[in-house]
Order: sequence, then C-alpha cells, then structure tokens
Amino acid sequence: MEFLDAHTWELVGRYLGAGLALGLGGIGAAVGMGLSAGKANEAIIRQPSEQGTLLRTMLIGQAVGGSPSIFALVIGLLILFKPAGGDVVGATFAAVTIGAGISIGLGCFGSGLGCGWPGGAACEGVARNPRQSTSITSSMIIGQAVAQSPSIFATVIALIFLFRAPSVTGLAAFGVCLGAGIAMGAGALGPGIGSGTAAGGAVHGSSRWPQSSGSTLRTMLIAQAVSQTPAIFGMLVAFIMLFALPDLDLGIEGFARTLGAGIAAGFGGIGPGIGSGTAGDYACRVTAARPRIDALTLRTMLIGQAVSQSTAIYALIIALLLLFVV
Amino acid sequence: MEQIGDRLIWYFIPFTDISIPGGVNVLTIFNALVVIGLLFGISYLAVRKFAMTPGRGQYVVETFAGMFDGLVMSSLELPTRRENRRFFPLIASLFMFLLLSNFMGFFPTPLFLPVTLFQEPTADINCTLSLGIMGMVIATFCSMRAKGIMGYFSELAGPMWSQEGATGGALIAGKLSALFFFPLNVIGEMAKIVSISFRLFGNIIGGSIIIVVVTTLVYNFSPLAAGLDLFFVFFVGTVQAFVFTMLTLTYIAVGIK
Amino acid sequence: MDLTTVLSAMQTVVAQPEAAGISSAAVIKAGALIGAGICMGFGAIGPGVGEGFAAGKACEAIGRNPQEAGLLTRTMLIGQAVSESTGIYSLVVALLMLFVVGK
Repeated sequence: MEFLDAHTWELVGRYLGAGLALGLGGIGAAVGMGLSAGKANEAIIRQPSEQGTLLRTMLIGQAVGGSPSIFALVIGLLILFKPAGGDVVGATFAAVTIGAGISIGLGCFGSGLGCGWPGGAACEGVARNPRQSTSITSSMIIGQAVAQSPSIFATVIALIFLFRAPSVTGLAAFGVCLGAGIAMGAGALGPGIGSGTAAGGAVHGSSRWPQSSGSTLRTMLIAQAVSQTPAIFGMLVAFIMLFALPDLDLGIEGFARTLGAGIAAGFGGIGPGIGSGTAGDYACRVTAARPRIDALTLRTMLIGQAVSQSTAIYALIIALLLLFVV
Repeated sequence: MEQIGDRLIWYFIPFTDISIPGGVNVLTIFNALVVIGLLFGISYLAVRKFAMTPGRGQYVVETFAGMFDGLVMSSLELPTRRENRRFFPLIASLFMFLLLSNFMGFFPTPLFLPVTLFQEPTADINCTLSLGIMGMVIATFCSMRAKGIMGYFSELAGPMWSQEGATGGALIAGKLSALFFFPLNVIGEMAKIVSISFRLFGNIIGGSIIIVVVTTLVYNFSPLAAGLDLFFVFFVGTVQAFVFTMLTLTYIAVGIK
Repeated sequence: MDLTTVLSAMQTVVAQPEAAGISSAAVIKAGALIGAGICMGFGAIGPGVGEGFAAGKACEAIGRNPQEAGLLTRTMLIGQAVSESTGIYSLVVALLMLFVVGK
C-alpha cells in the first residue's frame, strides 16, 4: 500500500473505476440496442407500410433499454468527480472506486443486454400484428422495466460504496471492495440477461396469441422474479461484506476471504440467472399458445428453475462459509 | 446515504442475545400505520353503500376484487370455489398494502418540518422481511396441511427418498441421498424468504436513491425529477408489489400441489 | 512515482512475501481461499445454464403433450441431475480447498 502516495492512489482509483463502469456498462446496452435495431430492420422489410409504427416501437424499446447505461454514466461521473474526504483517502479511496466501477459495470452489462430481446421481439410482433402495437409495446416496457432491477441493485451497491466508508483498511479494504463489487456486479450479469430472454419470449408469445396475454404476462413476471434470485444472493453477500463483518483479519487472509466469497457468489449467479431465464422464455411461449394449461406449465418451469438455482445456492453456501467459518 | 445501513439492520431477532440497536424504526412504523389508516378509509368509503348499478368508485373496487379473485382461482386450482376464496383476502390485502406502501415516498414532507415524514415502509428491510416470513410460514403451513407432515418432510428429503419399487442397494442409496438433499432443500426454503424480501427492498430503496442522486446532480431540475418519480415510484412500485404478491401466491400454490 | 518503481515494489511483494511482512503460509492459505471461490463461482455457470435449458425444453414438450407431464418432468429431473453433477464436483473441490488445503 505504501509504494504509491495518496494522490496517485486516488487518481488510479478514479480512472480505473470510471473506465470499468462505462466500459463494461456500455457494452450490454449497445449490443441490446443493436439487437432491437436489427429486428426492426427485418420487420420493416417485411411490412414496409408499418414503417412509422415500427420505428416508434424500436425507439421506445431502445430508450427504455438504454437506462442501465445511463445509471452507469451517472455512477461513472460520480466516481470521476466526487471529492475524496474523511476516512476514505489514498488506497482505500482507490479500492472503493474500483469496487463501485466493477459493480455498476457488470451489473448494467447484463440488464442492458437483456433489454434487447424484448425490444427485438416487439418489433417482430408489431410487423406480424400491427393492430396490437399498443399492447405489444406495453408488455415490452413492463418486461424491460423488470429486467432492469438487477442493474438497480448494482447501482445501490455502487452508491453505498461511494458514500459510506468501509469499516476496514489496508489490504482487506481491497478485498472487501473488490469482493462486494464482483458479488453484486457479476451476480447481476446473468439475471439481467435471463430476465431479458424471458421477457423476449413473453413479448413474442403475446404478439402471436394476443387473447392470452394476461396469463403470459403473469408467467413472465414470475419467471423474471425467480431468475433474479442469484442477483439478490449477490446483493446479500455484498451487504454482509459492507455492513456485517465485525472482526475481519486486515491482512492477506481477510483479502483472500472476501475476494473469494465475492467471486463465488458473483460468478456463481451467472449460470442460474441465464438458465432460469431460458426456462422462462419457453414457458412464456407455451403459456401464450396454450393458456388452458398455464398452471401446469408454470409448475414445471418453477421445478426446473429451482433445480437450476441449486448451483447458485451452492455458491452462496461457499461464500458464506468463506466469510463466517473459515 | 448513511441511513441505508440503518435500514439494513434487522431490529428484532428472537432467541438471540443480539441487542436491539436504536429500538424500533419509528419512521417505518409510522408510515405503515398511515398506509393501514388509508386502506381502512378507502375500504370504508368503498363498501359504505353498494348499489345495483355501480357508481364510479364501486366499479373500480369491484373490478379490482374480480381481477384478484380470478388470479387466485386460476393459480391455486382448488376443487371448490370456497376453498379458493379462503386465500383471496390475504392476497388482495397484501397487494393493496404493498401498493400504497410503495407510493408513500411520493408524498412530500411539509417544508416547516425538520425531519422526513413520509418514506416507503418497504424501503426498510424489517418490513419486507416480516412480510416474506409471513408468506413463507403460511405457505409451509398450507403445504403441511395438504400433504401431511410426513409428506412435507419426505418432499424435502429429495426425489429419491420415496421411489416406488426400489429394493436393496437402490433403496439404501435413495435414503442416504436425503443426507445431501435435506439440508439443501431447507436452505432453499430459507433462500426463498431472502429472495422475495430483498427483491422488493432493493427495488424500492434503489428507486428512491436514484431519484435523489440524479436530481441532485442536475440541480433539482424538476421535470426530470417528476419523470423519474413517475417511473420509479408508480411503475416500478406497482410492478414490484404485484411480483411480491404473485410470488407469495405461487409459493402457496406449489406447496399445496 | 513512475511505473518502474511500482512494478519493482509489486515484484517484491509477489516474489519475496516475507520481505513485505507476509508469511508464505499465509499466502498459500490465501491462494486456497480465493481458489475455492473461483472454483465454485465459475463451476456453477455451466450447470445453471444447462439445467435451465432442460427446464425450458420440458415446458415446450409439455405444451405439445400435456398428458405426459409426469413422464416429462421425471425425464427433466434425471437430465438435470446428471448436469448437476459437475456443479457438485465444484462444490466438493471448493470444500476440500476450504477445509483441507486452507487449514
């Protein structure tokens, strides 16, 4: 910690943190907007007469789907220009800003990417069924808004980083900040993508079978909520690290424990988040096509998602063991 | 920003020697009481006079009740209408309480008061965690009543515990697998409580913090604040209240099947 | 403070931990703890995606043929159990690293 002076540490932290926030946080929204634009182009070729409606649908989808990258922009600007002060100076400031950058960057990556699927599916749906464009657009907006909650969690954790000093110093501060940032950010990556794919399936289904859009929307909301569970585990581990670690070894052992717990809880959530979203995608399409068996479909989806989430629970157990037992 | 940590402390932990820091959270209790009072007032006005040809207020209330009745019926799929009706008051009042709670942050505090007066009770982990525990206790109780206590626990013991026609080694392996599955399933049940309560808490507190930070950054440019309020308070608040209610209903439905 | 000084300082910490006041046993334990986290974290990605895909396909199949729901759910659970085994391997290795190597 002593090989750089305080001012250099602060600059390192600011530049790395803002770079991670905007660099990672921009990828998802950009790819997602590109997905919607590609689908909109295909749809305009199929239905040139509906050009205006399609353009409007695409723009609404991109505007709502772009808000995760705006969260990343806000946090990135705060990281760059927030004055260092109080206890948080030097290396601790660098740790805090890098942690905030990882959290917001990875978290907004997932949600931004996920919002592309409902946007694209809405453009396809409007081309197929132009008279339903209002209800297709509203189910797209609901799906995208729920798919953004992982990025909202990541924003909360990043703001807590920036406005509340961690209770530890030294090498352990790096462990806590990197660990909590990875737990929240990587944990929100999979759920963001997964809830986006589920919303895409629901928008597709409700545009083809508009008469069953009520039960499709319900299946979509439940599927998205379940697929966001790993993000909540990540948020829980981040909260524990930031608020509830009373006697942490301040040296390399504390660093290893917190960083390991963060990696386990964060990356462990990627697979279950994406997988539960895929299950929700298919379940929404089936519910739209056959609303009579929606309770059976929902039950099968929930059983499958619960098994898929068990790996996230293993990862949570390892993270909690690392924090409290070892 | 310093208050986030306070809202994360769970104030009452039974059967431990953890002291209660700062007593109960007065703001949350006050706002929850305001919400309950508002709900009493609305319900009283709504049911005061019922007419055969409904007026505007009665129409809204009847549509709401009919919608939730249909939702409960189609989710639970119990044989009689009466059995389904048992869950309707719980689900409908849970939704109404959460909806009004999520809207509480919209009311401004009068300028002459030195402290914040209105704040979403759901932006406090104590409120959402209590509601989540309540929902899971009800779901577990209903599941035990529907399957019997042994049936409930043999389901927790994993899919290989009670398989038909298994003999010898397969039977022993099946019973031994419970050693692995039982703790996992118990942790999975606990994780359900954490996931539904932290989802609501994270969304509501996230919305309120983002509104404060963004409007401060643009020097209280009010149209932006109003737009953010519309999105985070009304849209996200409604959707998350519905998600919480639907998840509680789904856990009950999965439990009794 | 230029880059060479920073790099040489970091090299001291990595190559001779004792010189920086850290015992090598502590470094080994730290490696085991971070390794356990990486093992479980990355090991959970594959099973999660795979089992979710199986669940989705099972939903699709039930949509085609609701009468066979019991059979399809059983098949889905068996397939998921096989896919789960790699996640359990990660769990076992992570626990080994926590409680055998890390002690």
